[in-house]
Amino acid sequence: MILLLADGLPGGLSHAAGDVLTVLGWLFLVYSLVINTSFLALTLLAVLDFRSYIRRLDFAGYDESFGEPLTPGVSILMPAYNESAGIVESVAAMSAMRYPDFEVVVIDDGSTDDTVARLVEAFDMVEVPIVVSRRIPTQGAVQATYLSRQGSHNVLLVCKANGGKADALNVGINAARKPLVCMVDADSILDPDSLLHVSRPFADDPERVVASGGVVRVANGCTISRGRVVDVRMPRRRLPRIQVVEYLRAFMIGRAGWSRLGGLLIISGAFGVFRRDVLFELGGLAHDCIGEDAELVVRLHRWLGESDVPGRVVFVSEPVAWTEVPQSRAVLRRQRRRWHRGLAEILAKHRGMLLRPRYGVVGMLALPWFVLFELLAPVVEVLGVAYLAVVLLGYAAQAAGWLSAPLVDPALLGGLLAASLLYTAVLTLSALLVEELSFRRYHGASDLGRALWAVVEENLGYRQLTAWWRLGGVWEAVRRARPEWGDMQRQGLGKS
Amino acid sequence: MSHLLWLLVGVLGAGAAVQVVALVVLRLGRRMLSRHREERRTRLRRMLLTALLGEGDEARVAFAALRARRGRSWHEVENQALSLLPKIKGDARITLTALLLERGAVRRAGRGLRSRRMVARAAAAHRLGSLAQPESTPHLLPLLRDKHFLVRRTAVRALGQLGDPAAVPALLDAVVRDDSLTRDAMGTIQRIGSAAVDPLRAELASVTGRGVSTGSTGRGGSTGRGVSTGSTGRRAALAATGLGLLTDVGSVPLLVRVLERSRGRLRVATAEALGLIGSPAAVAPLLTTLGEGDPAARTAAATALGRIGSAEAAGGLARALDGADRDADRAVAAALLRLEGTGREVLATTGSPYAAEALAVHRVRQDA
Repeated sequence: MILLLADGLPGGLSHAAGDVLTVLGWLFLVYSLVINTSFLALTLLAVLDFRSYIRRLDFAGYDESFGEPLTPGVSILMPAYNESAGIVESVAAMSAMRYPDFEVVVIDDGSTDDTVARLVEAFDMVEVPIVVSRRIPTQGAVQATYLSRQGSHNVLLVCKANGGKADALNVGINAARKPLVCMVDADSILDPDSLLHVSRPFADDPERVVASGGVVRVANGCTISRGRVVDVRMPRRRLPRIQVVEYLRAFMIGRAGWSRLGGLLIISGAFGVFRRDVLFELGGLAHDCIGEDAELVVRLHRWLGESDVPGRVVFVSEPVAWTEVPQSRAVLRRQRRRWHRGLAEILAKHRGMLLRPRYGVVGMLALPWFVLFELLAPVVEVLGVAYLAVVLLGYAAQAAGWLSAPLVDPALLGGLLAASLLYTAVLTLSALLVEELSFRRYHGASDLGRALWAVVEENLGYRQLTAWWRLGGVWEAVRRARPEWGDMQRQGLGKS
Repeated sequence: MSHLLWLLVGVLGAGAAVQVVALVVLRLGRRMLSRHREERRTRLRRMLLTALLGEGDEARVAFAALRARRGRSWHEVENQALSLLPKIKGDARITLTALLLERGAVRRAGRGLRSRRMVARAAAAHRLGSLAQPESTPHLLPLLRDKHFLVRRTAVRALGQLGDPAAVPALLDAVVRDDSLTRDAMGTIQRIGSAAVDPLRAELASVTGRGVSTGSTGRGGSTGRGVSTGSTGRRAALAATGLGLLTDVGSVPLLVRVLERSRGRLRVATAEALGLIGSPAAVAPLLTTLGEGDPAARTAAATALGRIGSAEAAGGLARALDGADRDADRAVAAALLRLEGTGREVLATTGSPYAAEALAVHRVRQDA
């Protein structure tokens, strides 16, 4: 459009278009600088968090924690829908966690495959009339409950009519018999000590800690044996490789930073622990929202603010859950659209919390930040790509003699692009550096090479593509389109 | 303006390059360094084990070699020895402790307590705990007021290793100031053992002459939160929990008195303690608690009655199975199950779904 206006018009108008584009370019850069600087600040906060973790390692006495009195019991909730392929191994791994008092509650959400039959057979389960309260209203009726006759009988299976993941988790909360509830995906792989670590804040500060979340890492490329990650490696495939650095930057560093500030808004559905009594107060997970895990945490903050309860939602950096990330573009597209649609719905639903001092850091800082730098980021990124296309077309028009001068000074454009991309790379490299100085899960030069290459690759198409998909998620939320759930289509992890 | 922009690009580019170099150096350098360190550590550990557990000349030679070390070389021995100390017992522990004391480990740790660095203070407290010398108690107590949580927690744990009952009042004070230390302090009191009983009883007795309420119990209220309304009540609740963990039978009359007069968290803690001790003398007051409105206190009383296992409680437990509160009902059903004969008869005749659940779960366990 700008080209058409410029074409054949006197130099004044062409210059005006060029001025507008130049100003726009600077605005894009300012946005990029602000978003990346805010991430850098979160990284610094995360460094403080990790530093204190490293420092206390020698004195924390985690091994001693196992035998301590007053360790709160935990119900691990595993919603499952057609998870026949991996459910037995997942439940076996969960039921062998290192924790003094826990139960595994598998909630079968009306699977049409043989998930239930496989569990019943593998864990020698018998039908038992376990009372599942109706304290949180649910949609799918409970059809049967089974208890394992093996080991310490800590595996409970609740079969219910299909109602979706949130409904399954609500039934699980109603069925849970322990004061803490740990929500995990049926395909999450937890480190053996992760429950011990993630429940520690509840024992340390029982009056205030209402929820805690652990780190979620990428399991693709790792060697899995009996439901445990035994060898951590960088994936060889492009998409999972990029997601490793993305998860480190956004999920590990970002969440640790927000937690330090007291504004943690997201606890991953793949690994989060909540106080059961608080979940009852909240009415469980929402059925009308795609990102039910994140919505729950935002609602929790809302409840804390409105009830004047000095509660804390914390991120614990040492316990680890592993998850398989999408390997194909189609699945990744669905995932990112769903995530961003979820974010848009949550922010719309809880817009009343924005800039309200009663919600503290969450209302005044975290939510506005999420609106500006998460929700709107794909809009700006896609506009930035369109801007680049227009300016490049302008150069082509100038080369063809249709324009007397470039719309934007090429040196300026190069500088804007370089600054934006380099800052993003610095940020991701900072995340890698923090990981290297703290947890060091990855080893070897080849894995480092892959990680460094992923930092470059992320900016060559991946970010732009995911921005486009996320924009689609916003559009879906605006249109209130029927959600495209899609299957994760897991490829299976490297089992030894 | 564009000069500034390119300056920014230059800074960012240099920053990225430095980060890449740092990553490579860290990854490759650490690997070599950690391998070297591990080898040294293994050699030293072997020498320590030979000196402590070996026999004859071999042990004597190793011990003399350790003793002859000086400076940095001795520090390595001291670090290894201190990490080994909590894991060994008997003569080996006595020998190693004597060697560390002879070489001034307590003095060095004492200096560390006064360090301005938080990690140094925590490390010093940790070392004093490992050395477990009772005379270290007065040096550790001020650390319970340290501004850093890590130091406070390490001091609490160290006091547990020392096992000195003189630390009990200070431990309770520390928890009243900072709830976060509850679990560690209770673990420490357990480690101190029966010697902690007297100071705990004194704490608990101090509330019997006044109104004893510690606010809500953490369950059943509108928020589900506990609200501490007084440090005396809080200290008493902690003392009750401690006495329960120590299963101190001699404290039963005192706990019963407190149970009858208290409310809120103290009442729950007292009921739980009586259950842990398992005294039949507590059945009547626990049944009274069971008949009251506070769901947390009812749950604690039911659990306690189940632990005591007296058939006298069957009637009261049966009446308490009223469907008013899920957790309380489940605890009551579990308690009836533990009463065996009479209790199971009650469960079989009552229409409560929790009774059916308890019996069915019991059958599963029996079959396995």
